[in-house]
Amino acid sequence: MKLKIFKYDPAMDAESRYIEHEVPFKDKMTLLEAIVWVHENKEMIAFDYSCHGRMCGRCAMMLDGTPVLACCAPITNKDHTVEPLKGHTVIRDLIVDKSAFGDRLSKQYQRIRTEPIKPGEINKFDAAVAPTIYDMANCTRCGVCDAGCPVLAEKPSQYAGPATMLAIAYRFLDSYDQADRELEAVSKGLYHCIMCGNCDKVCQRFEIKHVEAWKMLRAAAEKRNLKPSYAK
Amino acid sequence: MDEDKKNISESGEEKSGVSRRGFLKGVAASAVGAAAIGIGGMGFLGGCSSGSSATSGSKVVASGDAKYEIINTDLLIIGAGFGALSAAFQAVDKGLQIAIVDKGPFRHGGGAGFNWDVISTWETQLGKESRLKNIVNQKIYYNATTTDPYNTANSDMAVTLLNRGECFPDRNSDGSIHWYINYPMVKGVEGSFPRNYHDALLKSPNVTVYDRTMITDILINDGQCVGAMGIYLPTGDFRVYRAPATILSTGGSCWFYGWNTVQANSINSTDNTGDVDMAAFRHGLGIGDSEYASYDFATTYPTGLGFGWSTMLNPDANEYFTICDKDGNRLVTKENGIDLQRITYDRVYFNQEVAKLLLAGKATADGGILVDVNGVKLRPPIKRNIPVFERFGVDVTKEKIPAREEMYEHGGTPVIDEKMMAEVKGLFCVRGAGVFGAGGGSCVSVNNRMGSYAARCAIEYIENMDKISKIDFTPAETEYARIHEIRTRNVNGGLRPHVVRHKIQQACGTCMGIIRQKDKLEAAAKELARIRQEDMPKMIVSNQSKTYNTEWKEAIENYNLLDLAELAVQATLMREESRGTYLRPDFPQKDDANWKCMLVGRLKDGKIFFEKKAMPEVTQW
Repeated sequence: MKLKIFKYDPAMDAESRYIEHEVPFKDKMTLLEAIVWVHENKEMIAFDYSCHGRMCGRCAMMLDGTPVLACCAPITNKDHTVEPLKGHTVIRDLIVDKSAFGDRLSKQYQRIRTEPIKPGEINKFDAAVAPTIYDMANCTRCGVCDAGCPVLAEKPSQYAGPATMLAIAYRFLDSYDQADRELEAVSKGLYHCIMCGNCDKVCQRFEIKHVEAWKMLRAAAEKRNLKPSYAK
Repeated sequence: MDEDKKNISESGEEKSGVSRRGFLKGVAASAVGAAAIGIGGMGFLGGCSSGSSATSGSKVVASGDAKYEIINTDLLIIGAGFGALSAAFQAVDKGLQIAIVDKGPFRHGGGAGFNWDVISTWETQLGKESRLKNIVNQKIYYNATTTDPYNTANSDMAVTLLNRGECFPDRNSDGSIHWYINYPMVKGVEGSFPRNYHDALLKSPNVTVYDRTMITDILINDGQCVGAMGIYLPTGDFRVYRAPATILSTGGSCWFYGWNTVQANSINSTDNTGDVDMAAFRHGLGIGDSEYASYDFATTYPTGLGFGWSTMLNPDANEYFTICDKDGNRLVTKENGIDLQRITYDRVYFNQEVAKLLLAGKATADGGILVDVNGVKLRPPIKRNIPVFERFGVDVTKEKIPAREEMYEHGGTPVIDEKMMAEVKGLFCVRGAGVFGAGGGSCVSVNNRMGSYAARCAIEYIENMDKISKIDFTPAETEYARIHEIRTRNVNGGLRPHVVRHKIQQACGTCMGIIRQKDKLEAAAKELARIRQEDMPKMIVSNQSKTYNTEWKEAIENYNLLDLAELAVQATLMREESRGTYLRPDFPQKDDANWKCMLVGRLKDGKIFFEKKAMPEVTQW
């Protein structure tokens, strides 16, 4: 199979380009294996990974236009194009700068309370939502969902994107959190989402049900009459 | 906040330069140039007194101009994992302005940058039995435990972790916490996720994070560690961090152990290559516990998913019944002579017994096992991996999947005293030698415990340290020259860094698992010596750009991996007994008379020398 890979070193190159290499295919090959093969046998490629197992989110990139985690993306025996993750500045080749994205998410994930949790409260939690929050906690913050979101691409100033929305949903379900997460979700574009489900499709943490979470947030918002006029 | 970039021309003259910032939060560390040293928060004047010009008399750097930024902080923390975060929470609680240097992107580096379902455990009573079965420096652990403000009595650690953003989503139907472990001395929960701590720490205005920054050396002046230095990877810029005290809390390096298609025989991070531990080693500091490591089993098929914690099956002592021999029969059974009670609490016993069975002809052709999860209730995080296999056309409930031991932690860290300080003043090591001893590396609960203790020790040191009267940045210039020589080296028939690395990994892959045979250890020692002599001088970087040059990074790391690998292999050979989580078939027994000690490796005249060091025992628990 032939791999066409994006190359760009802003310190050296006038503009980006693609390199192409024949890669020997093997059954049950991952995209990361194919990239490592090119790097080791053909020419140097700047790419990044740490956990090699669906946890760190550092190997997120585009495979034939679809955002994937290279470590667990199966690759087929035909020609493919590999590009850096959409929506971020390229540092070099397949390495992008996700630090602003990560900072925004960190802030969104911070729990807000009037005072710290007390020892007597450790056993107080809404058991009905615990399994859902357990699923959501597995988000790797890789940015694949945002890179695959058509609304974020079209209206980045109106919709914060699925990764941020999931963080809001997470703290909405967190029994210890006291912030107004329904308002926050609506203000960050909950109703701009077209419910296409592409975030569910591209996310590699299969237990996270994004669209279900958006429905839950909308129901909660509507209970409080927070549905915006443009959505009515 | 000031941040001066200092340019030193070949004539040694100083020029002012442009400040460049690559960190996440810009409010904390007071960063200074050389001529006017600023004063950090809280009045810790120790490392922040007025300094003389740093560069007077500085030598010309062979590879061109040495350009570097100098960044000042009250306390430098290298690493951003469980131990580092624990230290950081303690330090900001005490009002210090701290700088965290993370090799990976913050929240995505090392083991705590894996957003995985960690079983968090903690001791609920002081006890000699809890963590002190192996050769652990009991005094350190006693000191840490008796002064820990975050884990004082029955379930206070639960409160601490909840207040660091955790939800503990594994709940009973009444909403109470479901204790995964609930022994008289130890409690534990499933479903804790370390990124909660990163998020929570960033609430503090006292934290500045410098991420994607690889520390390549510590800064030592007159026998005192006054900071560290390294490369900001996105641009290749060199940075020097100045601090009255430095806490080293990077993870154990397992990356020297074997090589497959994209991974070592380890779930551990690509980041963890022992960079700072080995920098300390090259400064002559003693390194202990190099022979010890921690192991689980990991599936190795499909190859790309192997050894990935969220892409594999993970049979360990808790899921012993999924482990099968080469013929698909259960391996860990009473019939095979295994005490099934003991394996639940004695990992050394479990590993050594499995090793004996594998040696006795039960292993698959590649020395591993088969895993059968048909009809088995798996832990939630492992059960979640089954759809990944399905995407590759593998049904793990119908096929037995090949697996082998994987090294998830490793020792090989600086020797520390009872106050966590290495053999140079001002350097504190959260997982220093003796903290986990024969247990091999460390674990989440110990990192939580020792991290905050290291911070308390560092603060006490800062409060009492002598004023620094002179600062000398010559070592930074030497280090700058070293790493840029690696980047710009030209050799006929040069070897790219991955070629050299895979040779190190393959040499250790034969002998650093749970079975360590003498002939293989000796062959590995010989091969590592050959790599050092023949391959390392020929190692070249094929592309010399400084922009996120992963080859350059890999080449620098190879020096650390090679040092660590040699320490590990040689210490194993020297220790003629079976004490840790591995078996030496030629010395299958534990031998307290000769080997109840730490082996400390030290570099002298380019050679490693080992000495035995006795560990203090505590009687007043």
